[in-house]
Amino acid sequence: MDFSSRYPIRQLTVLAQDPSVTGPNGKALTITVPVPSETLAPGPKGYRIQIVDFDSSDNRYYAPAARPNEDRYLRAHSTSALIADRDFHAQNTFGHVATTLAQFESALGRHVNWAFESGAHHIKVAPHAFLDANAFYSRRDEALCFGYFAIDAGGRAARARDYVYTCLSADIVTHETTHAILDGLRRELMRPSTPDQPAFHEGFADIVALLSALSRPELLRLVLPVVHGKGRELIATADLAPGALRQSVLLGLAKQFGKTLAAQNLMNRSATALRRSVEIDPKIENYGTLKNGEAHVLGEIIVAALLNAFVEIWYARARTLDPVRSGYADRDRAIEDGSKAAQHLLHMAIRAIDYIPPINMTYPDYLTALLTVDRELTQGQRGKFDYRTHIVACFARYGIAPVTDSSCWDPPKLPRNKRLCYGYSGHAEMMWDREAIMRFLWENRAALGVSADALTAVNFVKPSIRTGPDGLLLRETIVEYMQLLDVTGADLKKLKIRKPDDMPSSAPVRLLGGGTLVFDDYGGLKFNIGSGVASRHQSDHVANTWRAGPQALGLRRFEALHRERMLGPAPDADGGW
Amino acid sequence: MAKAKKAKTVKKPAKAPKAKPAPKTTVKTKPGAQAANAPVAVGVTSYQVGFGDCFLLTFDYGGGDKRHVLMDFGTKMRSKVGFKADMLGNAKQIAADCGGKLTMVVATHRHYDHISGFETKPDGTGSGDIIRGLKPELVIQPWTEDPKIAKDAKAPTAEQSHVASLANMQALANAVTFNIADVLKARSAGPAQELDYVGGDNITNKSAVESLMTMGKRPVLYLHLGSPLDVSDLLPGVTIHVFGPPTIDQATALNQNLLRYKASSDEYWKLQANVATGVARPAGAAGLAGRVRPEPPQARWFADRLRNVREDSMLQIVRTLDNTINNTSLILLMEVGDKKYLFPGDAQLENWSCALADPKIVDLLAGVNVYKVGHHGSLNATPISLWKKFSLRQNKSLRTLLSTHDGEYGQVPKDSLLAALKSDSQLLSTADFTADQHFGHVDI
Repeated sequence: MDFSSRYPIRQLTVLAQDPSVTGPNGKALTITVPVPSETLAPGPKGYRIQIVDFDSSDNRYYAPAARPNEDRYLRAHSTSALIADRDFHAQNTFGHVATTLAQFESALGRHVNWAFESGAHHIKVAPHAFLDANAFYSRRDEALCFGYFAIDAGGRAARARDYVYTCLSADIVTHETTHAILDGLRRELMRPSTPDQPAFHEGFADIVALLSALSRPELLRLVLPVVHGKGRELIATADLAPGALRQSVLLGLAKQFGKTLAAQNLMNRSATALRRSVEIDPKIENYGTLKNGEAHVLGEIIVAALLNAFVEIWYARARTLDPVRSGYADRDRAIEDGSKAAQHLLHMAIRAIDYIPPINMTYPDYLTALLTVDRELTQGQRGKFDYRTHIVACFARYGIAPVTDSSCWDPPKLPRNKRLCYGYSGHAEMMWDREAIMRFLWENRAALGVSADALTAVNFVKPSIRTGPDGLLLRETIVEYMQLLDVTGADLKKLKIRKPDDMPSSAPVRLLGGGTLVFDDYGGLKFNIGSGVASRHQSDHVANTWRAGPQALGLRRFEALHRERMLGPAPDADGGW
Repeated sequence: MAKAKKAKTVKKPAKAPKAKPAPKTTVKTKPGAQAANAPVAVGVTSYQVGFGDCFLLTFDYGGGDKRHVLMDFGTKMRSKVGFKADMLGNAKQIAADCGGKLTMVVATHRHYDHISGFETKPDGTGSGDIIRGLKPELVIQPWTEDPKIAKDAKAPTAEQSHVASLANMQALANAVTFNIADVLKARSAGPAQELDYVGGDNITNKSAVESLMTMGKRPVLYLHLGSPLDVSDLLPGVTIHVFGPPTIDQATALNQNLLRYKASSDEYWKLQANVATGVARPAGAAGLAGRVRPEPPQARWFADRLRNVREDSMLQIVRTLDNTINNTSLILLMEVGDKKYLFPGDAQLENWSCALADPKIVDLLAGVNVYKVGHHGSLNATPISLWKKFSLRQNKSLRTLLSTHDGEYGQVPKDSLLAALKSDSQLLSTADFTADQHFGHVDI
């Protein structure tokens, strides 16, 4: 292979959104997305992603296209031709999974792993997994499964247009892929803990799907108003005000997504999430006042907060397009600004994952992480468009405030008379060696609140490299460690953790804790984000998991979670017996 | 009323149809006017139907005037357990025990294990044909069975869309049961068998449903929580309270956990029914042309996982619909003098919770003398709060009736519930019947 002439990225044709969104020429709106340049095997199968067209409902395997490295869809195709083309389904699914993975790797400056126990490098993707209105990520099966279902055709659906294929929806594929990547980045988030944690998994997957869509100029062009003047396409600056953008872009796209297929609304989370990001009323559905058990609203709140920040940042950027206050701006430039704002925010949202606690995470934690990311990158400056101020204001509207007074993570607070000891291992080892980190944790356990009794695992030690505003590289080492302690109700008192009143002393309680350590380029500990397994912060988590009951234990499965969105919780509650 | 004198009278088994018991001259075709004002004794017979329910309530008005109410008649057994309920024999026994005449038939809900005995055959030899021949005066069923609700669903009310969903659930169950033999054969035993079993309990049971609709002399009464039910002309001195199922509006008003009580998304169940009935599709599955090939080595591991995923997910869906249909069960409390008989069918917590939200109902329930254990002893059909209220547990004078079959369906009956039934009440369980015992009897 002549790698010297090879670019790392190539473009692949996919549907911009789903088959219901058509372009100005009346044909399916397709775009090209950047994916790693690799020599694909039939499937397509690359080095991280394998498409397997196996349909478990009729127990049949369908052979893939013979020449996967050829993009046969560059020229415009009619929507119906694409819907009926099995090979296009495979390419579309592969393209959206691959580009989502590429977004994460580009934002984090490193490869990300899947969370599979086998250590396998391929995620198996079934574009037609089964006949069912469901799509999900399954860690156990190392898979993304996309179902398809018949629109009411009297039980005799036979043609492609009688079906909805979830693998043709960009936001469903992106959403499920995000679950898989987030699980690979932060596997402890799937454990039962705070109510925010499962809501965050859903909300974050929606955020990535929506910001990915909003970063595509082709989609923004569909919904943004236009004024024709002097041979140019203009836009009234009033139409770029946050309120106007919410109506035109967020609601407008929500109407576009799945507009021709009423049945698709069932699966079309993005349309709902986009709509909710405008319509959700912070006075009623507010993080500060939400009761437990309203997990779906909890998931939507964080989407609403971040998308509102997006339109405000877009407006802040677009205002500079009309310096003489003519009331109009170049429409293409405005679209470019919107797309850039979405892209920038998407990368921030992804990088913030490096700065969240591994377990027991809350929305305020995520907000703090988001703000820290921006501060680290702008080196304390506010930046041209001051993303932080917009984000803080929008989250505050929904009752979410940063954890710290400074709005960002502070350097580790050490107990009085305690100092961190370095030097047991060299800086080089501290950048990759889990055992070296364990030694650091062990020797500094009193200072860092690490329990000597608990089961302890350093999950990963990873480099994070990104380009700062000065063009120089910002290097950090991100470490996740996690602790687990099995106690009983009676033990809680000794640990100064509050025992719920109705919890028997003999009840088994699993305490989970741990932290994210961020080391700077000199090997010094910048942040220790998280809470100890035996800390007093555990009182709330114990109360939460106790209230949720025994069925809440064990890893969450997205398949069931997605069904619960439609059907309510699984009916396995006991009657007290 | 006679005091509880005999704890349990076990009749000898009978292979051949029973000879008619002592002639009953006073059974009237048009009961009411001349009958005594109230029963002097009440008995309940529990028939061996394996996993299912079948109870005959006998109200003795003295002077040989006995009136009978049949409470459910169904069975659902796995074929491999080696036990098959003799439904024809049971039907003949019921006919003998009621002297050829039923006053009332109750079908608590439409699960196979509660109504399969009502199945008729074209040649008139089904167990349901025998029951039809007993010419019940009145049949009562839950509101969800009302055929009028299903019609005219252009602007469906909450009730209508619920009934539509129930129909779609059954269409799905039909398809799953059909599907399982075909697609899931040779699969791992556990889930496939449970799928077959639970699916099979939910399939439409056309002849039984139709027979129930038409066998009564009077029009069927479709009841919900709080429905007035006056049976004074049929069963003088017997008051029947209806404590479930709630209508969707009632459940909404009481702010119950609707997500679990009703079929929360009628659109979803419609889709699922479409999905399921699309199983028998022409070639070119999924509406797409494709090149079907044997699974290549690199796809085998995953194809196998995917088959399991599919099975699991069908199982979850079928369990959900199974619970939803359980929650359509009638909950009936019969009052005779100062004695109370509670028959809740398979009602689960979500159905119970509306009735239990009313302190007056809870007070009434506290004094129950006979309790038919809900849902064959499952863990969530006997609310523990209710169980604790039963005051007759104190001196173990509470009578409990359990119709179940061990090892048939997961943790049913639930061990801890069974232990409580045994320690705090006088339990008559069909699971304790000897191999050749076909019924047991309780007089109160």
